Amino acid sequence: MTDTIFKKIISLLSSPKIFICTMFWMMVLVFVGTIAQKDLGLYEAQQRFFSCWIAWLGFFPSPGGRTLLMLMTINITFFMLKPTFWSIKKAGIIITHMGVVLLLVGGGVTTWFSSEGNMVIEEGHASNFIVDLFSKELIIVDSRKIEYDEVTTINDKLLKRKGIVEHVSLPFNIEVLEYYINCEPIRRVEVAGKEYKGLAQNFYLNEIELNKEVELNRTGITFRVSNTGYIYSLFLDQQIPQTIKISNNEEYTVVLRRKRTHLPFTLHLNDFKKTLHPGTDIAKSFSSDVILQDENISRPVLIRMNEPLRYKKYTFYQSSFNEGPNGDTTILAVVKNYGRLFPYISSLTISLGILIHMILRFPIIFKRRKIKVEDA
Amino acid sequence: MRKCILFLVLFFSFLNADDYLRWEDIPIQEDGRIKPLDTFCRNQLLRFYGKRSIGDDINPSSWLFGVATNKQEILDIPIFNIRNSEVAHMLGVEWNSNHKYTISELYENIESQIDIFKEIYSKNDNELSIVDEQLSEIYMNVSMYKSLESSLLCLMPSILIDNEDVAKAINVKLGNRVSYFKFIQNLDSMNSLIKSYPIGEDDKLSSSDSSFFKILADLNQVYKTKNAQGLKIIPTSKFSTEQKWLSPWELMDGRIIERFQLDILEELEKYISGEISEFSPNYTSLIYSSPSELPSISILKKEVWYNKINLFYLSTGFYLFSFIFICFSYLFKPELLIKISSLLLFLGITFHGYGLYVRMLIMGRPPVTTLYESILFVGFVGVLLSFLIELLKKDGIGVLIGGIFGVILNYVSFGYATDGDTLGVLVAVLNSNFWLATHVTTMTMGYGVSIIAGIMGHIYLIYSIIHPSDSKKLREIYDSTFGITILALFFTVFGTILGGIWADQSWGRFWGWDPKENGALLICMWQIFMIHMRLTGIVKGAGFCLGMIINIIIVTLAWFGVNLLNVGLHSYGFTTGLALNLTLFILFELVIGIGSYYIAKIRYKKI
Repeated sequence: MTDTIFKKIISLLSSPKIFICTMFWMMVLVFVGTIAQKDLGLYEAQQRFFSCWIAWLGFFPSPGGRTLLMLMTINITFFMLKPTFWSIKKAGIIITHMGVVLLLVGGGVTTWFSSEGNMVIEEGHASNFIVDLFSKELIIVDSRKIEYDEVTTINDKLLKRKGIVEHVSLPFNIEVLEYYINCEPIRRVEVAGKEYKGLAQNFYLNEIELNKEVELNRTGITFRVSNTGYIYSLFLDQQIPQTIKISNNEEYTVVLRRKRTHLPFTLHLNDFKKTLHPGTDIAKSFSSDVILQDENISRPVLIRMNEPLRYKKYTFYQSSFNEGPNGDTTILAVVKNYGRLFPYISSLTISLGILIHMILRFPIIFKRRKIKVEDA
Repeated sequence: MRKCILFLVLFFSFLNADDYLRWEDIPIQEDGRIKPLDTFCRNQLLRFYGKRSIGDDINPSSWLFGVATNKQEILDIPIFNIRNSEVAHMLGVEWNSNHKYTISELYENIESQIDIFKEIYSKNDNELSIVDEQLSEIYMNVSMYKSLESSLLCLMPSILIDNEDVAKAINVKLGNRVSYFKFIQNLDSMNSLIKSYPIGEDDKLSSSDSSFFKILADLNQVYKTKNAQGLKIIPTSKFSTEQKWLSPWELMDGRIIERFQLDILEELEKYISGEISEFSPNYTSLIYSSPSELPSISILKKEVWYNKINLFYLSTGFYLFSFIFICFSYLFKPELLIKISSLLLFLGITFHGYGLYVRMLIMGRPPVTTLYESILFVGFVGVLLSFLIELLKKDGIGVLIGGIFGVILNYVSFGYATDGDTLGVLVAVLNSNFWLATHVTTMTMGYGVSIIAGIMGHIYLIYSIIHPSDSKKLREIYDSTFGITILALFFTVFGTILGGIWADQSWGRFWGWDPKENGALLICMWQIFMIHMRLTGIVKGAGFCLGMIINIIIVTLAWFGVNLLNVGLHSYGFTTGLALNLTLFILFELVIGIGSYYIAKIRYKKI
C-alpha cells in the first residue's frame, strides 16, 4: 500500500508536465522581469520577479523565480528517481540532468549563504570592513570613556518596524517615528516645536520615490529619545554629526550609515591606477595595488579587472573608483559565497553529459539512416 | 575587363609586398590604436563623405596627402555629404542632386553664420532637432578638415628666403623655399639674428629689412595653424611615460626631439616637398627604432590590403550568386546547379572566414568584440554549418539556407560598419582575450546555430505546404532541425554558463539577472522547453519547427533587443534606430511562421 502511494507521489512530482509548465512560466517571468528593468532598475526588478517566492504581475499573484526554480529542482530530482531513467544508453542524459540539478542547488546555496558589499579605500589608507549596499544601521557612540568608545549598533530591520528600540548598553529607548528608504531633507517653513533638536529643528524629511540605482537612495530616520522626549532626524551620509544630549555630562553621537561587516584582516591601498588607451578617454584597465595584512602576513597584491583577490572565503573585485584632489579612492566589490564552485562543477558536468550523449547517439543515427536507405 | 585585371592584381598584391613602408602604410595613432594611414584616411572619408573611398581614381591616402599639402585639385573635390535639404539651406548652399559640397563652399558660409552654431552648442542633447544634429556634425567635419589641411604645413617649403642674413642663419641658399621646421632646427641662430637685427624707422626700411619682416610674417602665418595636431604619425619618445604618439606640429614647440624623430621629420619634409617620391627603407627602420609598441610591417600592409579588397563584400557577392543558382536549380538541371552553387557558397565562406582571420590578426584578439563583429561571426558560423549540412545531405537545402543567411547577415553588418573604425579598442572589462575567445565565441556560435535551426524550421513548414504527402523527406528535414537544435543548445548553454563564470571572475557574481544574461537564459530555456515538448509528444514536426522559428525571434531579441533597454552591466552595444527594424522583423517572422504552420496543418488534413 505505502509502496503504491510512494510510487504515485514520485510519478506525480516527476511528471514532465510540471517541468514544461514551470519552464514556460519561468520564461514569461524572465521576459516580463527583463522588460520591467527599464523602469524599475536592475535591483528592484530582481527583487520583485526573481529573488522572491511570489511575483505580482499587476494585481495577479504569480509564482516568483524562487518558487519556480525550487519546483523545477524537485521535479528533475524526482524524475531522476524513476527506475526507467537509469539505463546505460541514457548515460549522457543522466549526467546532463545531474549537472542541471547541481546548478540549481548551487543557485540556492548562493541565494541563502552569500553576502556582498563594497570596500572603499583611499590611497594611503587602510580598511578592514565591508559596506553593505542595501542595509543600513543606526549607531550610537558613547565617548565618555577615555580608553575606548562604546558603540551600539541598531540594525535597519528593527528601524523599519517603527517601534520602540531598547538596548542594555543604552540608558534610554529610541522610538522610531519615521524611516524612509529614500528621502530628502526639506527646510521647514514654520518654526518646529521645542522637542525638535539638531537637524530636525530646521528640516523635515520628505519621502520620495526609490531610485533605480539602489546605491543612490538617501535613507532617513526620525526618532524620539525616551528620557528627554526630544526628536532627532538623521539621513545617510550626513555631513554634520548629530549629538543626543541626555544630561549635561551625558552626550551621545548618532550616525545613520551603511551596514558594516568587519573582516579579520586589513587591506592597505598603496596606489590606484587607471590606464587609458593612448590618446583617448577609453579605459584600458583599472588596478588597485594593495597590501594584505593579516596576523602574521603582509603581502602586496594587485587587484585588477578580471583578476580578483581571493582570501579567507572573501573575494575582492575591482569594481569602481573615485578620483579626488587628495588622491584616488578605489571601490572593491567584496563577495563571500559558499556556492562559488557549483557553477564550475555543474557546467563541466552538463557539457560532459551532452558530449557523451552525442557520442552515444551518433552511431545509432547513422545506423538508422543506413537501414532507411536499404528500405528505399 | 580592365577592372577585373586590376582587381586580380590587387588581390594577389600581398604576395610580392615590399618590406618597407609607403605613404599609405605609415603607422598613425587614432582612437587608441596604431593603424596604417590608409585606415585613418578611410575613417575621415567615412565621416565627411559617408563612404570609405571616393572612387577608383584617387585612393584615400593620396586624397589626404592632397588635402594636407593643399593641392587645389584635391581641395576642389566635393567631399562633404549633406543629407538634408534644410541643412543645405541653412548653410546657404544650393541643394544639388548628389548632396556633395566642397570645403570652400561650406567654410565661408559657416564662418559668416557662426551664431547659429553657438546657439546649437548651448542646447542640451535632448533639445537638438535632426537639423541641429546634422549642422553640428557638418561644423565638426569642416573644422576637422581645416585641421587636416594645416596638419603638415610646418613641413611644407612655403617660406621664400630672399634675405641674405636669414639664409645664412638657417644655412640655406638665397631664393630657396624652406619649411617652418627648418627655422625650428636653427632656432638659436635665428633668435640671435632677430635680437641683433638693426631695427630702422618705418619709412626708412631697406629692401632687405622688408624681406626680413616678410619672412617673419610668413612664419607667423604658418605658426597660427599650430593646433592642427590630428596626424599622430611620429612615434612616442622614450621620455614619455604614456604611449602617446605625436603630430609634426607638437614637435615644433621647442621640446627635446629625439634623433629618430628628427630624422622622421626630415624624411617627411622631403616627401612632402616632392624631393623623393617614396620613403626610403631607412624611414621604416626609423619608425621601428622608436620605443613604442607598434604592429609589424606585414600587419600594417595586411590592413591596407584588407581595406582595399573588402572581403566581406566579396563573400556577400558569392552568397548572392549561390542563392540565385540554387533558386534556378528548382527549375532545371538541379544536380549541376546545386554543385555550382555549393562551390560559390564555399568561395563565399573562404573570403568571409579569411576576412575574420585578418581582423583577428590585426587586433590580436578573438573574432567577436563588438555588435558589428558578432554579426560577421554569426553569419560565418551559420553559413559554415549550412555548408556542412549540404555536404552531409547533398540535397540543396544547406546551400539554400547558407545563401539566404549569408546575404542577410552580411547586409545587416554593412549597416553597422558605417559607425567609424570597426577595429576599435576595448573597454577595460572586455579586455580579456581568454573570455572573449571562450564565452563570447561560444555564445555567438549558439546564436548562429539557433538561427540556422529556425531557417530549417521555415523550410520544413514551406516544404510541407508544397509536398504535404512526402513524409519521408519531411521526416528528414525534421530530424535535421532537431539535431541542429541540440547542437544549438550545447553552444547556448555552455556559452551562458561560461558567461556566468566570467561574471563571477570580474563582477563577483555568477548570475545577476542582467538583461543580456536574461536574454541568453531565455534562448536556453526556450530550446530546452521545445526539446522536452517534443520528447513528451506534445508537439510534432510542424509544432517543433514553429518553435524553432520563434527561437529566431528570441535570439534576435537577446542579441539586439536588450540593447534597447539601456540598463545593465553589458551596456556597451547601444544603438539607436533599431527598434523599428526589430519590430518589423519580429512581426514578419510571426506572420510567416504562424501562417505557414496553419496552412501546412490544413494541407495535411486534406490528404
